[in-house]
Amino acid sequence: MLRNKIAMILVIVITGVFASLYGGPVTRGLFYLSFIIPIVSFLYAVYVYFSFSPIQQVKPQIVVKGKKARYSLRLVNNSIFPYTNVKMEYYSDKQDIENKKIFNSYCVVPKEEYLVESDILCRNRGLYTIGIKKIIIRDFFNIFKISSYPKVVYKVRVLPRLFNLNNIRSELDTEMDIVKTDLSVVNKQERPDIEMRKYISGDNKKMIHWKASAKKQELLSRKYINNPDPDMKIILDLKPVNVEKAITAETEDKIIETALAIMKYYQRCRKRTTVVFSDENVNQLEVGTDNEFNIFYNKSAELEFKAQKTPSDCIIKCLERSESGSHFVLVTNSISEDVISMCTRAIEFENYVTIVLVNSDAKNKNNIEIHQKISVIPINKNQEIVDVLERK
Amino acid sequence: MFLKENRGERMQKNSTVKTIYSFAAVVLLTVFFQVVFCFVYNFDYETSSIVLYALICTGALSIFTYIPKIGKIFIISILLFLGVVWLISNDNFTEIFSDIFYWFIDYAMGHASGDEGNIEATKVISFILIICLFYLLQQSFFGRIACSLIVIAVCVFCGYYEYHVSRIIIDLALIYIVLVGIEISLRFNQKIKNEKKRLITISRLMPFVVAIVFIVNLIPASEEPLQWESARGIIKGVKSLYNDLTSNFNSNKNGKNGNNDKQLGFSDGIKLGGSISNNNTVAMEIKFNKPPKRNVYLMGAVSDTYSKNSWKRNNTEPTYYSNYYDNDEYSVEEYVVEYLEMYYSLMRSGLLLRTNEMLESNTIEVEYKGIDTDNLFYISRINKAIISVNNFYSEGSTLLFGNKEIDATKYKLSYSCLDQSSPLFKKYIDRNIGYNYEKNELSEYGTFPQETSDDTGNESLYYVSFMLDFLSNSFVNSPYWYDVDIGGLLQNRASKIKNVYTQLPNEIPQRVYDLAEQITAGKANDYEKLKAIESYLKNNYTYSKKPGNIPKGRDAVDYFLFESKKGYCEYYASSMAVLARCVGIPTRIAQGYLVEVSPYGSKTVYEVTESNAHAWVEGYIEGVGWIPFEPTANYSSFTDEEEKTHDSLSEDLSSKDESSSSKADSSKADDRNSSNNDTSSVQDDNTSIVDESKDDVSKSNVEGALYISLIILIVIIILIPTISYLKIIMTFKKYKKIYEGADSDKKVYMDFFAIMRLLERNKITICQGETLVEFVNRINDFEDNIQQDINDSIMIYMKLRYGGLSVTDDEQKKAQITKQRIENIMKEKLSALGYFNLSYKIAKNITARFK
Repeated sequence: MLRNKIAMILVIVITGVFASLYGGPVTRGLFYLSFIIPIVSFLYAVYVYFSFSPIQQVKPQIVVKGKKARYSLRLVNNSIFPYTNVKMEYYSDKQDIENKKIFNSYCVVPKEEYLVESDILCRNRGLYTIGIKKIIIRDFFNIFKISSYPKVVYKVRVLPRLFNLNNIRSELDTEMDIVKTDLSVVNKQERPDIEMRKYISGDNKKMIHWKASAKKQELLSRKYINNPDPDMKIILDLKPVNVEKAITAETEDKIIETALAIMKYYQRCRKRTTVVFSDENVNQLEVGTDNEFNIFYNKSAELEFKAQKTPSDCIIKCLERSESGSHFVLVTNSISEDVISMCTRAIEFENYVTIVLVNSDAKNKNNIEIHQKISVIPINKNQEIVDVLERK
Repeated sequence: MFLKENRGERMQKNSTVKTIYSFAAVVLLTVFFQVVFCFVYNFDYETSSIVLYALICTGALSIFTYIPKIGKIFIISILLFLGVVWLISNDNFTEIFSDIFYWFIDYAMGHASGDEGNIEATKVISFILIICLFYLLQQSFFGRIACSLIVIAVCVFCGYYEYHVSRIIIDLALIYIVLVGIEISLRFNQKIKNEKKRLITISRLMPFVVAIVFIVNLIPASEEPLQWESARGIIKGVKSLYNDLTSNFNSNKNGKNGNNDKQLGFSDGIKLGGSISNNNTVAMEIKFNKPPKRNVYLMGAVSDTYSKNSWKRNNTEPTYYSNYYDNDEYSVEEYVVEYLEMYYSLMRSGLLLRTNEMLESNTIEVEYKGIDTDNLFYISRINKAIISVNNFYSEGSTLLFGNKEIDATKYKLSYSCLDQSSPLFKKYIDRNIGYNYEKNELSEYGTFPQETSDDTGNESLYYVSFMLDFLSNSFVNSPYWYDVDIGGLLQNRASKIKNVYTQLPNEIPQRVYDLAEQITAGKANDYEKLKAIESYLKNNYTYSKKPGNIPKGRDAVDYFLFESKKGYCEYYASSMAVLARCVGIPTRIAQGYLVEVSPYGSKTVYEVTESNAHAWVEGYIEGVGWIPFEPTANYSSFTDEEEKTHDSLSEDLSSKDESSSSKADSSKADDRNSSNNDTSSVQDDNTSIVDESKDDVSKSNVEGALYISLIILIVIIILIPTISYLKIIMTFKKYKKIYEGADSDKKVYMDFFAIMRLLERNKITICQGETLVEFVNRINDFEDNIQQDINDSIMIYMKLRYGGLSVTDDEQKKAQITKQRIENIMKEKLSALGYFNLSYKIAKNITARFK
């Protein structure tokens, strides 16, 4: 385009000098032509600017991260003049357009129609605009460039990936093993205790403590007490992550996906969990049923890492509700002394604390003294969530 | 990936054809109206026939280009027509052509005369041949480019030789040039290789093309080269601003040393000393009733008294006279008496009836623009009869507005200026020189003459009648104007002039008197003495706007004449006035503007800038009156036989380099001399600027155009490399920033992209449908020692791209090293510029892709 501009300026200068040297309609005609051309060209570009309107379509508009959405672009010229040079620029920060022909510049004559389709790979979770970012319109002499923006923008909701865990590592599973235990029985049974009572007719044989009965010479049954499982509280750290810019989105996604994987596991185990996250306030959301899980799952696509409250605030909030007997799972990118001290306090109140560290630097926790009862599970950049969270 | 495209498939054929037809209709309609216009308003056999052939030619050209089918029909029609002619004419058909051909050969050789029928037939045949040639050329894209180049070349040729070309032909040529220009743009910028698509696009753009040419037609195109009036106005404005700034700067700077630069401009009175700087403020605009033949001196003020290095006006009294009727004393303005004296001198010398040969009479309309003064500018000798100012008064020869607010600053006046270059002028002087009112009988004047009748049709009689009319109307103070004692009036005035206008301060050193005596020694009369002084100053002193300051206590004229020997017009005029007074000749200093007019053209409107401000001398010759002299070097004399250009004057006024001005002088003077040979008796000797003399107009305009072109070129020359340099630097910086800020995966992507571009430069590209694995296997002939590295790098990329796995730092390093190694190879293979270009392109592409 610069080349054309220079050429046009040169033509104006040359014809101007020519018209200054020699009179008559020919020289004048050439000179006037040379500077009228850019004016009319610009007017033409303005015309295209106002009349050109590409039609976009994205299907589906809700996709799971890593999956492809179908994108189609329709260029129709219903005006009376051709669009000699229109080119589209696309959003590309969180998406990959696979059909590179879509990037071409197009010349659309009246009544002509182009339909270009492509798969768009959504790389990151979130609610973001997809498709044309900017339309670049050039005139027929390629001297001027006018940028316009699509009148309608399309947003897709990209949900985080959902991992199904077959089992869960012990640090996260204080009560049960999904593989070895029949979940329905486990849920119904009460935990055995060392306390015993006299055998009552009708007691299950399995309840009889044979060894103690032999010693005491009378039938003794195990005495069961109703000891509820600890509450699972998954705390999502939505403070801005402290990683390289290139992996920020990936880290954020991984934090959400880790929390979802744990929640899904427990939901499958029909055990209620409470997800705690913060924006301006600390929010607590109980997830037990499929519906409750889906609500949070949809919401997770739009969770932003701009929380004003720290994980400590979340733990404090949880402790306010029930001081003991909870299992706190903090999914975060970094740990601080403040968080550790709050976790230590939770343990002192007879709670369990597990920290899942996502894409964290090793040095992040080096200088912090972590209470021995606090379990820390690191998930590195190259590790898959399932590989880490499942029991080996 | 699913891709579906239907480019070009959905084009609707019907609409395309309609488009082409509409295009053709637009062209033909335009052409039709042009032809009608031509016939109605400018019916001329030659023009109309040329237009008609051009119409056929260009119309056919367009049809052939964009509607091939019709083109074919057109050719078939011509062939059929010729066939019919052949059938009708039977055997004579071939004879017709052979006759025309042999006539053409004879005509071209100069043996045959221009037979109208043959000429027309030759034209038709020529045009048909041209159409065929163009038709053949139109078949390919490059043929069309060639055609457009031919059309441009023909336009340049016609423009260069200033041939009269019909507007319609120009329009069609311009349409064609624009069409091909668009096609070139579509082909090379838009990369539309499909010719059909290009042509359809162009046909749809036809309204814009026609609009362009239509607008071109709306702009008036004169036969003269471009004047660049507005551009020059802008340049003048910029120059003026620059001068203002520099002069302000200099004055601020010099202010500390006690020296001040004056800006050029009119002032009532003169204060010698210091330097002057240009001032291009437009002072006034002058509109002549008819084009003036010579430079015009617009007089605004007259100074008569010299003292303390300055000139002032002390003589403000009118001239008094008596009347035979009642012997009372009446007064009359000086400019009227000047006119009267001229009348009587003409009468006495017997040249009254030849005044038309000596006087240039004209009427001017003066409009003040940037000047703010009460002085009224006029050209001596002014004729009050038709001056349009209602209320003005005189102080000696200086005219002042009585009420400027009422009279505004726009007025008309007529004048009759003595043409000193006229051969008759010398005779006029010779016959009047030495005349003394005291010695001669006053009775010869008597009273005022009666009006002269104009029955003979002699132009001079008309002048006389006109003059008398003016004079009779001027002596309105007297109850009976025909009883005015003319002789007494002129005698009293002459003695008063001799008394007042020869006074000099006592401080004038003796050597000034001695120099005056020396210069005028041997000269017979006052006029010759004045000419000698004028010539002496003109030839021995250098014009300078920065003559330096006059030492304290020194007389400015003395210092100029004997020491500095350089100065501007005020120095020259003062020196001449003083030197003349030293030998007893009455002189005065006139201040005003010198209007540089074009002697050959028809220009009647002139802009007078402050840089045109000037001072000159008027010497009094008893019996003749006040005669102007131009002692300033580089200014044309009032009586120079050889015409000098005014460029040197302009050069001086516009502070251009003196050496260049002298070169311009000589070259232009040569040109002018050659032209003077033919018209020497008519052309003015004094004038020098020739705005509308064709060649010089061109040169003057070219100067403006070149000036702008030069500025544009300089801007382009500076801007392009600067922008390019900045762009390149920014691109590399951006690339570096992106690369350094990227994680390993992204770095691998970027390295892979760079590797592929580098390989592409080696003509190793991935084929359509080829997988990367196939590609890797195929390129095993590229530089053995890094073959493995390339393989590894591509594998790393494949792992990342298709495997969905992240790369390790080592892998990234490997890809990076591979890229660097290929870069090193390219460095050796390519020239420094070539490698730089390649690096820049890669950096640019990567930046655009990975930003």
